[in-house]
Amino acid sequence: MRMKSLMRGAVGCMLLLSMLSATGCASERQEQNITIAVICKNKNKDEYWDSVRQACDDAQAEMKVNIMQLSPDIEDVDQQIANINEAVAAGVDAIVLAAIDPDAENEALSKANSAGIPVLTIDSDVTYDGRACYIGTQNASAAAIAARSAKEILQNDGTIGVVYHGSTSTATLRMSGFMQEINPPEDEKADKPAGAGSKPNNSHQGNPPEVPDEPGSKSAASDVNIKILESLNGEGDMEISKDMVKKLITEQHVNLVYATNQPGTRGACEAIEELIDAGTIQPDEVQLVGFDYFSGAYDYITSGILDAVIVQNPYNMGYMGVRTARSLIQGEQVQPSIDTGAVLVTADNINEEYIQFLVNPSGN
Amino acid sequence: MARKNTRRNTIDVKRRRDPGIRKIGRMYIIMGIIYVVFIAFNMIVENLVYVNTRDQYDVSLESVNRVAVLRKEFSKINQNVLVLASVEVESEKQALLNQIENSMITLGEEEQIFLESVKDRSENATRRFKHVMYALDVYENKIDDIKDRLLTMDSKEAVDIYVQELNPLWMIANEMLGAVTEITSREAAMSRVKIAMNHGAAQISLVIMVIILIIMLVVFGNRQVKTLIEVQNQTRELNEASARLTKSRKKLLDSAMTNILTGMKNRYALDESLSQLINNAQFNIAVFDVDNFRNINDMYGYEVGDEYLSTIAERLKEEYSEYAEMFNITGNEFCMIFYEHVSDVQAQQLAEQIRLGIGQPTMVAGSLVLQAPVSASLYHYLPSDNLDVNTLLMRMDSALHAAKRDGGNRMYQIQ
Repeated sequence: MRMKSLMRGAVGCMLLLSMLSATGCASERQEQNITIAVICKNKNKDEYWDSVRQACDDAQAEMKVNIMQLSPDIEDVDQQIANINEAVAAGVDAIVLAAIDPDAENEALSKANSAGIPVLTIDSDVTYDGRACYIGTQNASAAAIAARSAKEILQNDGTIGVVYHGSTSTATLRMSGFMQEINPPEDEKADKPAGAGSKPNNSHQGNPPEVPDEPGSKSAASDVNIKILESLNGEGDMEISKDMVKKLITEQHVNLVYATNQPGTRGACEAIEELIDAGTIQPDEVQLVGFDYFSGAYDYITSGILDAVIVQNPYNMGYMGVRTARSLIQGEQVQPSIDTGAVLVTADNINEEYIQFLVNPSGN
Repeated sequence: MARKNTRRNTIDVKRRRDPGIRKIGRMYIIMGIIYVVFIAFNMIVENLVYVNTRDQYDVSLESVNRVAVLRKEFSKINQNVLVLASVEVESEKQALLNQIENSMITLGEEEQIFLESVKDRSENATRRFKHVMYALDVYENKIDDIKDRLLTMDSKEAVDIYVQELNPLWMIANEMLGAVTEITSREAAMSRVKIAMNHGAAQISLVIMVIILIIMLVVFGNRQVKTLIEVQNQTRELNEASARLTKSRKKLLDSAMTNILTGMKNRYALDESLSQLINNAQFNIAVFDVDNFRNINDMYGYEVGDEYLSTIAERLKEEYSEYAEMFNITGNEFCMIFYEHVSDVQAQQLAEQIRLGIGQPTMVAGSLVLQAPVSASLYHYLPSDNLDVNTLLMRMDSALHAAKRDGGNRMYQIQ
């Protein structure tokens, strides 16, 4: 009988303790009820999207929010629309989207907004007005960084050939930002805007993107004698880009190639390497400035084939995407655009810790 | 019920005096010491836990403050870079550049201090802060790269670099610092909750221990009292049994010392009494013998003879118990040792009176009246006579037989 009373006392104390711990965790539970859908462009094992996913995992651990990772198997816009609908059906609190197409997903996003789910984009923006925020590289700014690097490499004298990737918004901005920096219009020279924050360009695939000056124009700066001889469409494909770069080098004899995306940069590296191997050009005869790091880029950079590459910060896109989504859910005001920055990687800084982290955030 | 209460009272009295009570007292002192030791232990443990959690809490708070300093310092650098990009005068540019470089040194030191303070304590804060450091590193390297050109660079290019390369890094670092603050604040809040919970748990465990100790004290104490009562009961029963044994032993001894017929003490008892007196006391002793008692036995039978003797014995006990200790040493022979308060003269008178009393007519068997003369001997013994028991009794016998030889019905006093 006495033992029973003792047991009852002990159980009572345990209940009291568990009540105390439950009170302590109450505030945490509130945040854990938040669910954010993050929709990338594909599920492939890819350094870029792996960085985004890694950032989401880190954000989940730090902010105590739930992350629902949804992505199409391949870069398929219909699949991504299905992902958006799935997130809406699951009743998520916000959607973070890396849009495959700037227009095609607007309707699905509009439906999400109607259901009270805020939408924000990372990496690639959409034309839908209802998206709360775009988080990613300001492509025009990143292109301007590439252009300054090109000028430095050419020491303000030489010819440039461009291989771009179709007429996507990214390609357009990376072209215009680059050309504007190389050949700033006379009237804008004194007080040129920073070039960030432009809306995506919706020009049709295959048409050359709008640029400030016609290809072949000479830099207007008195001490700069750089000509952009030709811009060719690599269609975002490595092999086509490679052919285009070979054409630029063998036919136009450009001193420097500028590639606007990763397949273009990769194709350009291979093209230059093959031309050097074939003895068509000398090592260091043709310089290359590209976009986006890829496995194998390290060797091209250290061997001098790839002189500079613009590296974006997909990790920051993922992390800031989740953080900004949480702010939206909590009713806070957010900026319409957040620049996650772009860094120029060269043989001089490739081994720096922060560059290594940037190109390989998971450390593998 | 009354008997029960009496018994309990007896036990209570005994309990106060019993060494068992002291044992229980000692047990309570030991329990008290255990209790004090436990409280001291509990206080030490609670204090350690508190200090540890408090330390974490302080570190978290300090982190929040240091993040604010880092933010302020970096913000100052970023602002100076913007001003540097806009001013035209070279001396102003140089002054700003110096300021920026100094701030960067301070910022670098603050970074290291912060990293040291959090790296072993918060995985999340450390990871997030590394992102701040990466952004700061890129920012710093860019400034390093262009600082020589900054003095001569046209303001359009400087502003471009600021807007396109540096300011995004500042914004990202600022956001990441916000995240660090959030993480450290959350951890500080968690530490606060932990402090409260640890304190609560320590208090509860203390209360539980006190309750357990009290229960142990009550249970153990009760058990001790029960054992003590059992021991006391057993002791009392043993004492009672021992008393009974002594009584029955005395009874047995008495029966060995008593004449069954007359109920008077026998010859052994006489020897016992005399051996205690003979060496150090003066006393008067008389022996009486019914003359020709054998004739009564022969004439009326042993039964009448026995009844005759027992009746005489009863009469003697009734009349002379206060004067003398009486013995029936053989069938018809009585002995009396007069008490100290009886004087020699009185003893002589009483002896004569007894002799005559025994010889008075006595009714036996309802209707038969028997009377027989009695002879006696009397001895006023002095320690200086220095006799042993046997010699004394032989002398008494000799005097008695002399009286009988001289015709009986008389008393001779031994000189």
